[in-house]
Amino acid sequence: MKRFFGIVLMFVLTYALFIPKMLYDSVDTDKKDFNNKLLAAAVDYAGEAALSSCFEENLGMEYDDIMNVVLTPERALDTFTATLCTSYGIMPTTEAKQKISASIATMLLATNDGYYIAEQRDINDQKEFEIVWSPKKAYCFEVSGTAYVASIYGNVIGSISGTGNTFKTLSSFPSDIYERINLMFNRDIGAALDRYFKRFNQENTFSFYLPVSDTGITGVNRIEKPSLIILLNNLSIGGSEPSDYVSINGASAEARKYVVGWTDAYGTKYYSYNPPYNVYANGVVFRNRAEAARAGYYPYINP
Amino acid sequence: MTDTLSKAIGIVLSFILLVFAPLTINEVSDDSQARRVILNEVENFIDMVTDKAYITSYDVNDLILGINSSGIPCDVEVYRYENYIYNDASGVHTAYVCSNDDYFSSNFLKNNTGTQPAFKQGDMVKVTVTAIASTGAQRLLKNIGVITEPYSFSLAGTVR
Repeated sequence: MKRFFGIVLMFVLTYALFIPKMLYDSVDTDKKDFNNKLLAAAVDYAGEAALSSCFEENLGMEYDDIMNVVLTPERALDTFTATLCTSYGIMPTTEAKQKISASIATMLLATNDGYYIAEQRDINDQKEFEIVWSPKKAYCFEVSGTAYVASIYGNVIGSISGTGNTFKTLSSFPSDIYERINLMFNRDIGAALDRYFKRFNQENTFSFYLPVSDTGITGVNRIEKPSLIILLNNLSIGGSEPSDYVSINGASAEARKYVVGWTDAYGTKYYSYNPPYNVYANGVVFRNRAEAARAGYYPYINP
Repeated sequence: MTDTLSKAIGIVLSFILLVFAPLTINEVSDDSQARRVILNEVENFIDMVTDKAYITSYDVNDLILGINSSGIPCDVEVYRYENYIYNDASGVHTAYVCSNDDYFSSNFLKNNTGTQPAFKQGDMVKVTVTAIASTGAQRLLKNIGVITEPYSFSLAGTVR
């Protein structure tokens, strides 16, 4: 009886010793989970901000064609890092921004008629990496020996013949090809992202893809509007350990807003997205705030 | 003698297994759930502000109530960062200016005519949450040597 009691006691003791270990693990997992979720939310908002900043410096936008969104990637990275710094309460200094941008594996900006992709490039052969955007790449695909160029909405906008790369607009094209075009260039974009991500992180063996063929017509993962995709890896921020979590952020654009500039009663020139109603009569429309600033207008501070 | 020793060990063990362990495990899971609730509340608030571009005092009260109903008493601050693009001799620059007004004043709600939203496109809204007391789980975990810092985080979003 006493031996039996001893054996039971040993079991119970082992179990009791496991409880602190279990608690340590549980607290650790909770903390990691929470940090990952916070990072995902912060990256989400920063990605949205980066996309909307792509509207600032663009040119060639027609006023009567508001769906025709043209994006340029210059300020995307800057806004992304600044927003992420603000989220974590860090001053957006150059060092902090560089630290964040060092963990960006690749960024992809899909615009109307082509896409930009960014990668970490050794700028001076001394292991100093910097994000560099590629030139714009067209959405190309090939049907029976002829290369075609399409827009992001799946419309064929031209063809490239084999000899002289002459660019001619097609007036009519079978309508059932739109779906297939979108699938094709989505597959291209997925492959490009996968390639760039693997080049950045050669230890990881997993693949990245936009599963267009799996999700079909109603798929949520397709790119069919101007969009921004950011892939982050090994981000260490806020003093915690590096997150082993791969964050994928995507945002897309529908339409854009315009800036109105006006002169007030004292002769000062102001610009704003939301000017007071009485200035619309003598207001000047600008495509973006930078343009308004260049024309000598000052930001209007809401009183 | 051995009887007394095993009785003492038994009493300690029964305390650990019947009181300390269930209490701590329960508190830890409650704590982690409360933290998720707080993060979710903050995300909802930022989503709402980035969509409608102004804050009413009702929204802020709702945020504070939602966060504190999670069980962790927290100090909540809402900040507005205004984004300016200005032109000088060296070119066009971007700057964020924190306008740390009291959010119950009219500044945060709407402008003085009451017709236009206070946030412009590109402005940031930032919510900072800081716990003002240690939670039960943190106090219990101190017994086994897990010392965690007071719970705090911040999150910012940009108005579309």
